[in-house]
Amino acid sequence: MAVLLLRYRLDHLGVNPIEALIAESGQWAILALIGSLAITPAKHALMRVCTRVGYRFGRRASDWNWLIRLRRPLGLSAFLWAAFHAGAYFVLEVEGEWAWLLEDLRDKRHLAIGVATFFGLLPLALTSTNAAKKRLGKRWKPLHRLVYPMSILAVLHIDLQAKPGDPLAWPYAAAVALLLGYRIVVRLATGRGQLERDGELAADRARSPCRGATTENATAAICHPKKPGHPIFKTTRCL
Amino acid sequence: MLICHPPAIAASEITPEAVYLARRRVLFGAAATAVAAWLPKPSWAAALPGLLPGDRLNTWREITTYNNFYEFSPDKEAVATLAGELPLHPWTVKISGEVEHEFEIGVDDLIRRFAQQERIFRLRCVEGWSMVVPWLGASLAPLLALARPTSRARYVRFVALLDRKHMIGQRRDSLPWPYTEALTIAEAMHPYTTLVTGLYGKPLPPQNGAPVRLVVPWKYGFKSIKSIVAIDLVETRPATTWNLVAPDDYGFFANVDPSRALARGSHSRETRIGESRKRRTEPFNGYGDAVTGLYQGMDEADRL
Ligand code: HEM
Repeated sequence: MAVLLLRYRLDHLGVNPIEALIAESGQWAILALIGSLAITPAKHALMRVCTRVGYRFGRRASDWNWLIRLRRPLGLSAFLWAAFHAGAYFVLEVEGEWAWLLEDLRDKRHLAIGVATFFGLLPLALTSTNAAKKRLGKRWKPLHRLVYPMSILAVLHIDLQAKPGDPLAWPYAAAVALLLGYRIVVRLATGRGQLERDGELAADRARSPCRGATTENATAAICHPKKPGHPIFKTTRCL
Repeated sequence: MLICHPPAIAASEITPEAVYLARRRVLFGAAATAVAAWLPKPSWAAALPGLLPGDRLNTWREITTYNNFYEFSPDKEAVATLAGELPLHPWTVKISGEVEHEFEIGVDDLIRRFAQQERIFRLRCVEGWSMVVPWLGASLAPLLALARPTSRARYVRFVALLDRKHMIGQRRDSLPWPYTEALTIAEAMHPYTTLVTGLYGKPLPPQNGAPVRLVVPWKYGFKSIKSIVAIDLVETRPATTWNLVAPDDYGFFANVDPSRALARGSHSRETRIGESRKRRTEPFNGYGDAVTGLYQGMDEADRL
């Protein structure tokens, strides 16, 4: 963000720097958001690959904890970029005038959607600390599922702000569709969602005596979807 | 004034902007008189307009690196590079339809026949930005007069080049190609309606619509069609490109109107390229005095 601001100060953002500043920050926001959505599917894919090629490392979900740890910073940076983006809009585009902002909000659908997206992401950013996570307990997860509808809204915002015939939003739309579609497929196949299971498995692992078996079997099963016993076909809590 | 064509000008011949600006002040007055003599003088005809207070010419770089030209790309900053390979020679414009005398004219011929003059106009894009551009061109009216429009000619339709090989944006159906625009015959005959072949005293760069484009300064920029190959006089209102795609935002008339909020938002303000603060958008882009006569007696709703 500092680099972007510096480029703005130095007039290195082309002929219409206001537009460029808003556009670039918006692009970083959506990219970070997509990145955060890609983490879980990426983990699944990597586990599958590692098992296929017979690597010892990487078959277990816990081998990818470092990857999962990237999710929070990515999500947060999506929010921070969106805040920067909205701030640039407010300061440079409507020059801090509330009346003008309201007029613009009324006139431009894509803007209202952008603002809605931003305020949807806000509580997620605020509850991203460990303390908040503890405090919210079981409600944290449902709350953070807000990111799914928000990513759809973000894509809508981007597509509506683009002119007709401008495919600007398509790659983002494709990525979001793929990543959310993956989750839907997994959920449909397992009945209750591989993703939740992962979380529960991790929790189980922490407390249950059959922890070793749990992760090993589950992982092996994930990596061989055709095998009976895979959670996609059968939902069991502790294998 | 330098009017040659590519492969064109040695760097040493290019007038530096500063010198150019000084020279321009002299030329402009003379040019305005010249065009006034050329034209039949309808009651609303006015001398060529000046600048609004605070208007400053945009630089060559600003004008030639930030171009809406979907034939190449929706990315305004990519257009200058992509348009570089467009072959501009030979190039003819065909005038046909409801006229007594159909003809085709080469661009070189056009430039020779119709004294090219400096014309400084503001250009206001529907996207909410504007520039002040020193075009080089001549009113469209005498060219149309040469074709002797019949009494059935009520609209003038302009068609741009279709060339999928060089205009790579046309390989996608982002818009229905070729790009088409139109004016009423009265609008087309207005002295401000200009066929442009140059910029800053030099040949028009491809990204700005070479070799010949239209400039209708009181309308949103998309009406000012680029790289024209045909001008057609017709009886009924023709379909026009952006109007087909998104009629709520791209009206047929599309006169700059800060009071009208279109589907993509209001047009009350604009970013003047090169300035960091917004400006208020002027009705008819500041050319109201000269053009409102065209719309007298017309219903508000009818002239979106
Ligand atoms: C308060 C919230 C927001 C406001 C006020 C806002 C405002 C804007 C504006 C003004 C534009 C330019 C379009 C135009 O000129 O009308 C834009 C484009 C964009 N916005 Fe937002 N936005 C907001 C939230 C978001 C969020 C949450 C994201 C993504 C996660 C986002 C991503 C984008 C992207 C990618 C673009 C397109 C940039 C380009 O042209 O490449 N925006 N937004």
